[in-house]
Amino acid sequence: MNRTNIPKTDSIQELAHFWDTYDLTDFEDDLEEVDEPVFELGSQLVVPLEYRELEALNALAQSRGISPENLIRERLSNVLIKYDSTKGVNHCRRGGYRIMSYSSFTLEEVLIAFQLEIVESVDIFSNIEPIAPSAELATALEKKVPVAAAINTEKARSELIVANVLFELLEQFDRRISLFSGIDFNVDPESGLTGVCDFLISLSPMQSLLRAPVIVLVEAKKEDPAPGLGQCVAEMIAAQHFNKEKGNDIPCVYGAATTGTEWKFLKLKEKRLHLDMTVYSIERCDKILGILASMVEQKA
Amino acid sequence: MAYSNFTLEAVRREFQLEIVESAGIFSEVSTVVPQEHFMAELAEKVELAISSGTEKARSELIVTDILFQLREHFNRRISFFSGIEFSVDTEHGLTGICDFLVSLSPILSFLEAPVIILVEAKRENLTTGFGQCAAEMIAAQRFNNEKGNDIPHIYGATTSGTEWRFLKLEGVRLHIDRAVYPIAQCDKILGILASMVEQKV
Repeated sequence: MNRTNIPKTDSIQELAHFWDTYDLTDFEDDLEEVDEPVFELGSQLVVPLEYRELEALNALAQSRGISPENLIRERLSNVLIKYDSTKGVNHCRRGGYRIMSYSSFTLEEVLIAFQLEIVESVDIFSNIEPIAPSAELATALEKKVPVAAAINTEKARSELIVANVLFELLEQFDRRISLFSGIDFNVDPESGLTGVCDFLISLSPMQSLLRAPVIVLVEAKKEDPAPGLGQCVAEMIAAQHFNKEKGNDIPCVYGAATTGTEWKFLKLKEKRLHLDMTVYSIERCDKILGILASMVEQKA
Repeated sequence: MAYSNFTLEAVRREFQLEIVESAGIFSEVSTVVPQEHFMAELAEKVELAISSGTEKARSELIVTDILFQLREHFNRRISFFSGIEFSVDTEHGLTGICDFLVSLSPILSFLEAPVIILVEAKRENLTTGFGQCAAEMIAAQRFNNEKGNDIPHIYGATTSGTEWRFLKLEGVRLHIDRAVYPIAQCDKILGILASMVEQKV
């Protein structure tokens, strides 16, 4: 039987019209058996919600005058950032979306995305005067460093070493500065400048609320400080934006990536990122304290 | 399913626990008085932890120091762990990361039985940590048993750093102490933790 072909179209309207006119049995010769699913629900997701979550979602959507589905889509667009070639990060995902936050940046990606110029050197911080740790800190580190290294989680290293060093810095400055640990620092979600910062130092003494200017960002890592550099730089850029927005612009923002036992330091001045290639060991805690203090004083 | 998914009711149901609430199970234990400089530094850290508020800050500035002091008190014959994965029975949801865990073994490089105290840090509202802590205590019971290092009691604490509440697991009986201990009674808190290590309560 000579007859028309099945239209090669995805238009539901055309197909509906066609199948209203013809019957599937007219095309038996064209049918093909398949073993695998052809139509997959790639674009839908079933997310189980607790009743109270659903209730809250509905209430929030209603107050905004939109459907709960649209509310979720709207929120999601703050999380999934389209990273295409115009943003610079073209080699990482094929025209796709990524969930961006500080922790998703490698050093290379953050340099490209924010068009930073990197300057590597060995002596940005090396000439800085060391500051002798207090007897308390020296004793504490003597005992705690081996324990942190043995337990060897990022959490233990943060608790037993990093927090103690930064607390001492606070004491050195007589609490005229503030220290924040594990706070949300959401500055520009659309550029991926969002997430939790391990440690953050502000020049404001206000401890109940983060105020500008943010001066030092410290990123803790378990094995090696280097993988923390990208994340730290992203946080430093966020701090730059944050300070500017609050009208509290300072020329440099500083950073440290650390395992507690090893420290690497960074300095961001406008678009120029200085990376000190020296790795400072906690055995030279006086040196580390000196560098951190010079950052706070903006002498580094 | 992981420790953090358990409510107290879910743990009770899943593991057929009998829950006993009582006042002052630990009230009689003697205090452990830390050195003076420890108290002075703690006071400053408490103040900072309160104002910065996060669970992370509270863990770093208070809980870690208390547990470290506990280990010093026992001349390092015990160990404590922070943020380690403690996966014991995936099928029953006894899996996940424990905030803090104390073992009677002095080894720090890996976890050795018997696990004796499980500490769950919370930013606020300590009762919300009971389910998670109880699930970890049951996991410890099984872990110790598997390693042939069975001990009669497992203990637990939920804490915001500034306030502490204590639990005790004896077979399938879970004792919850109604008392809330503030960090101002740091000597009492250390005393209770020490009595747990010594299994005197």
